[in-house]
Amino acid sequence: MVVLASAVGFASPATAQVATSAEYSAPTHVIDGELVLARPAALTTGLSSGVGSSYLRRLGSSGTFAWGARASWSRATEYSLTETVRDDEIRMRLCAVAQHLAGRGWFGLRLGLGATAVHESRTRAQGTRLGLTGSDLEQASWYLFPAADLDGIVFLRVWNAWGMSLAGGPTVHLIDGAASAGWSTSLGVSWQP
Amino acid sequence: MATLMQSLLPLVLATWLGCGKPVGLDAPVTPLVQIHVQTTWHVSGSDGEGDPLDGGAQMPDSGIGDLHLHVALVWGQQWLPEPFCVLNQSVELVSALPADLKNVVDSGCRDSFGFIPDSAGADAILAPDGSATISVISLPHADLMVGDLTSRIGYASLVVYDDRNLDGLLNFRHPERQRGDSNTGNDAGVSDSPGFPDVVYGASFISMTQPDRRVAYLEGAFNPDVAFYPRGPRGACPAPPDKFSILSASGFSLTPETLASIASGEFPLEQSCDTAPIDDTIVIALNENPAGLPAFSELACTTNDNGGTTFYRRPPTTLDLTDRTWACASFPRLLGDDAGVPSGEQLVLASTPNQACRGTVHYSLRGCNNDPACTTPSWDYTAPTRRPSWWPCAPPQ
Repeated sequence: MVVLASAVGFASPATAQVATSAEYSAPTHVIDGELVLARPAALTTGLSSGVGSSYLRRLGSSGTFAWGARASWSRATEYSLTETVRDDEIRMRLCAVAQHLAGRGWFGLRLGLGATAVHESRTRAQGTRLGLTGSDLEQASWYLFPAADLDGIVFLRVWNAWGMSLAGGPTVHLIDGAASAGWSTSLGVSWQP
Repeated sequence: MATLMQSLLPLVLATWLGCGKPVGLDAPVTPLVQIHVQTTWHVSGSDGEGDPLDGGAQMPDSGIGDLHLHVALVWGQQWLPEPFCVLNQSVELVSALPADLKNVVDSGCRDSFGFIPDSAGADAILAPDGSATISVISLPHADLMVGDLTSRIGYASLVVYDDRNLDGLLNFRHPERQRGDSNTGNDAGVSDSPGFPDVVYGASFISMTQPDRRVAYLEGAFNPDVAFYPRGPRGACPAPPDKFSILSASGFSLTPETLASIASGEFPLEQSCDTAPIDDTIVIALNENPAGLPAFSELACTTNDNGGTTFYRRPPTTLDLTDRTWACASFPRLLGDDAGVPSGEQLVLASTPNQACRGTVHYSLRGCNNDPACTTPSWDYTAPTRRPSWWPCAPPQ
C-alpha cells in the first residue's frame, strides 16, 4: 500500500486529472496479467502456483455487469516416498461479473464456468539412479474437469490506464463424478484502456 | 466428418464431465526390486538345512510363545573393531590368553569380521510356509555405500527376527555408551534396550568367517580395492553386476595364516563365491534357540564408534567390580605404532550379560579420552596419593 500510495502521490497533475476523470466510469475493457495461487485441482495437498490472464468487457453503459474470459497455468509438485508428482493445471473460464464502482476502482463478484485441464506427470523416486527408463521411470497423462469459480475481485486504477487487481474465492471441480472443493487467488496488473 | 464427430463426442463429453481421476499421490507403490526369501529350520547336529517352517507361528522349545517373524533388509556399515578386541582375538588364535582377559574378550568383543548393521530397510512378514518377499521401494542412501559417485557399493543382510514389540521394524540396540567420565547413570550396566527387544533367529550374512548370501547394490564400476566386506583377495571373485544382485561367499576360516594375510592387507582366499540375479531366492536357516548365540543377537546391534577408536575414561572415585567381568591389560601396540604407548595397564570392563550388545569400557590412570599417552593429560591419578583405592591394575612406571 505504501508503494501504491507513493505511485499515486508522485503522479503528475495531468496524470492525476486523467485518473480522477476515470473514477466515475467503469472501463470498457480490462486486460489483466496475474500471479495465481490455488489449491491443486487433483492433488490432495500442496500449492499450485503460476500465471494467468483475463479479459473483461463491460456490459451496457452502467458498468454494473461485465463478461469475459480467464485462463491460467499453474503447477504443483509434491513428493511421496516413491514418486514425484507434478500437476500442471490450465484453468479456462468464461466469466460473468457483477461490480460496483468505488473511488478509483471497483469491486465485485466474478462467476467463472469452464474447465481445468490437468497434465499429471509422475516420476519414480530414485528411478534414474537405478537406471529405469520409459514408463518405469515416468508416466504422464491428461485430464479435463468441469470447474466453477466464485471470486471476490477488486480492481484499483493506479496510474493512467494501469492498475492492479486482487481476486480470490472458492473453486469447485467435478472429478470422477464427485465435487472437489478448492480455492484460488490471484494478484495482477491490469490495463483498463 | 460427421461420423468422426459422433464417435468423438461421447469421449469428449465423458472427459469433460470428469470421468477419470488423476492418480496423484495415491499411486500404488511399485517396488524397485523384490527379494525372495525362504526360511528353513536349522537342524541341530546336521550340516544341512531342515524343513521349511511348519505353521510358522510356534517355535518349539523356545519358551517364548507365539512368534511374529519378519525378515528385514539390513544394510551394513563400514566398521573397524577396536584395537583391544582385534589384537587379543588374534593372540587367542596362537596362544592362550589369561583367563580374565579371555573372559573380557569373549563377553565384551564382537566378531571382528562380523556383519555390522547400519540401518534396516524394507521389511516383510514371514508367511506360514516360511517364505517372504521383500519389496524394496527405495535405494540405499549414499552413507550406506562405500566409494565415490562413479564406484560405490552397499551390502545388506536379510535378517529374520521376532518382532517382540510389534512395531513392524527391526529395532537396533547399541553397546554401552563410552562417552562420559564415569560408569554411572544409564551406563551403569543395565540393559540399554528397555521393553522387549527383537530377537534375531537367522540371517543370510552373519560374518565373513561364515558362508553368506548378501544383497549387493552397486553404482558404477566395481572397485576391487575397496575392503568393504570383501569376498576374498582382489580379483578372486567376479565383480558384482550393476545395481541389485545377490552375492555369495563361502567365508574364510580364522587361522593364524589368514590373520597374517589380513594384517598384510590381503584377504584370504575363499573356497567359492558366486553371483546371482536379485530375483533368486535366498534361503536362510533359522535357529531354534538363538538366545545363546551372540552372533545372532549382535545382528541387532549397531556401534557407538565405527572408526575403531578406543575411548578412555577417567577412573571414578568408586567402582564396584564385584559382578563385572574385567581384566587389566596393557595398552595396545598397533602396527607402525612405535611411540606413544604408555606403560602401566588399563582396566577393561566387558558388557554385562543383561546388556543387549557387547562392548567394552576402558579406564586409564592417566591420559586423555582419545589417547592414554597424550602429553598434556586431562587427568593423572598415577601418584599413589591420588590413585583410587579400588584400582586393581599396575600403575605406569
